[in-house]
Amino acid sequence: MLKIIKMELKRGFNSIGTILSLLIGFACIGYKNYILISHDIHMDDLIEKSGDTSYYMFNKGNFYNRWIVAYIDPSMLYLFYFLGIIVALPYGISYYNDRKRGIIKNICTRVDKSKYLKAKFASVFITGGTVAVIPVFIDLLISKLAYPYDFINISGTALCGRTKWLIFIIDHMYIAAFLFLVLWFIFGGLLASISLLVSIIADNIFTIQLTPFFIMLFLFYIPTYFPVKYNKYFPYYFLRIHNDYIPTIILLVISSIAFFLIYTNIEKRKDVL
Amino acid sequence: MINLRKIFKKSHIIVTLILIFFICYTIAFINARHKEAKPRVKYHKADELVEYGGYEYTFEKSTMYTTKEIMDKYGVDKNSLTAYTILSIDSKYDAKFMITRIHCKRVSEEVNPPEFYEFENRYVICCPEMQLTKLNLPKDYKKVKELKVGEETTWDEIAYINNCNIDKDLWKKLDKQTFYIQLSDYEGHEYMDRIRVLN
Repeated sequence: MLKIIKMELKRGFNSIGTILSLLIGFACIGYKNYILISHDIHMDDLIEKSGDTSYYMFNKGNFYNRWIVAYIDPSMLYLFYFLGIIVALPYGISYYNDRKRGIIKNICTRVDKSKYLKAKFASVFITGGTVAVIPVFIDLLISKLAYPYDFINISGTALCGRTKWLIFIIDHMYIAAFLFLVLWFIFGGLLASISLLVSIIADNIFTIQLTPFFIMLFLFYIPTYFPVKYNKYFPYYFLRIHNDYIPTIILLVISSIAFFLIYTNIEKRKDVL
Repeated sequence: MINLRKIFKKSHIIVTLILIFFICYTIAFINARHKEAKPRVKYHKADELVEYGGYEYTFEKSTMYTTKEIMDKYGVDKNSLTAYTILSIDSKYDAKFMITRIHCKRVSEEVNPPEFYEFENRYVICCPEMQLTKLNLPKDYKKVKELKVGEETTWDEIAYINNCNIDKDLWKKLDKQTFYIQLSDYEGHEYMDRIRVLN
């Protein structure tokens, strides 16, 4: 079992899609930071010209001020827009390709099909999660450069005592940052596994590749039609600090298990030869 | 012939690139720490003399009040409270008020008065209760900016916190939380004075 997972993971991470995904992710993060840095330069000029030093107060704070999970600006939205593409590019269409090219026949004559399906799901989940989490982690590192001292001064920052999760973030910044990365990983994996689910019924490469993208866009715009109290169940909110962490992670894990069961149970019954 | 592919495996190249990235990042981080002055925080107790921007301040210990207590104390209705004009008078939200007596004396020709007095603790920021503060200014009150060298003034600075953006459990034990008045050096944000005015 471990051998086939290793093989699938190797195939996933060695694919050109992984590099493309990372490039798209870095471009989104790069654009966000470019906007922020140009804003900083503009502010410095403004302070120099006007002499109004009160603008400086916004420079105190901690890395959450600039990190994508807490920062609010249209420039950070691109990662959310493209997340569906980013996670599905590396390995989302692999199952479809395996079937189409007949690779599945070669594999399933050597190993148990259920093992192959489990390994496929695990590898799609892990590659999707990894490419989702790396740009967010890089953004954390860049944000840390802007705020090298974790100065706890909540005025002018996104942090406050509104929820227990936010209180936890203020008390344990780095543990919370790690938990955010875990959250992004699981969500990325879950979004990537949608491609696998779609490949059960669809027979078109674009449908399989682009479904996570359209689902993400749908989940991005749909909260406007719901009362505000339900917003926390949508990715734009629960991937950021405005959520309750534990219900979100439980929801994501349950969804992942459900996706896994649906995928393996349906595909196991199909004949490959 | 030397086979470079055998010597430099793909995994080696990836590990090397990651190592190079982290070395570059560490250098950039150390550079950022040198470039950005570490904000020094000076902690003071209530009733302690604090020198700030050419003034000598004394902040007395604060007291926290509920809305009913503050209305009884000053004989005002909800209409006279900024906290409720912002939240709307019929609002289901609640507010708590902190009153701090501030003494200020100008001691220098060159001054840099604070724009406002930030009341905050680790999780909560208090807003200035402007209407009530203005209503209760003493007759001989002079604005800090208008003080001449040697002159002093005293007033009650009132701040409020409402529970619309605060966790329920935190709200219940808010009276036991430590609150600070924060005076920042905006010029270079190199230091900050924090005066512990509650708990």
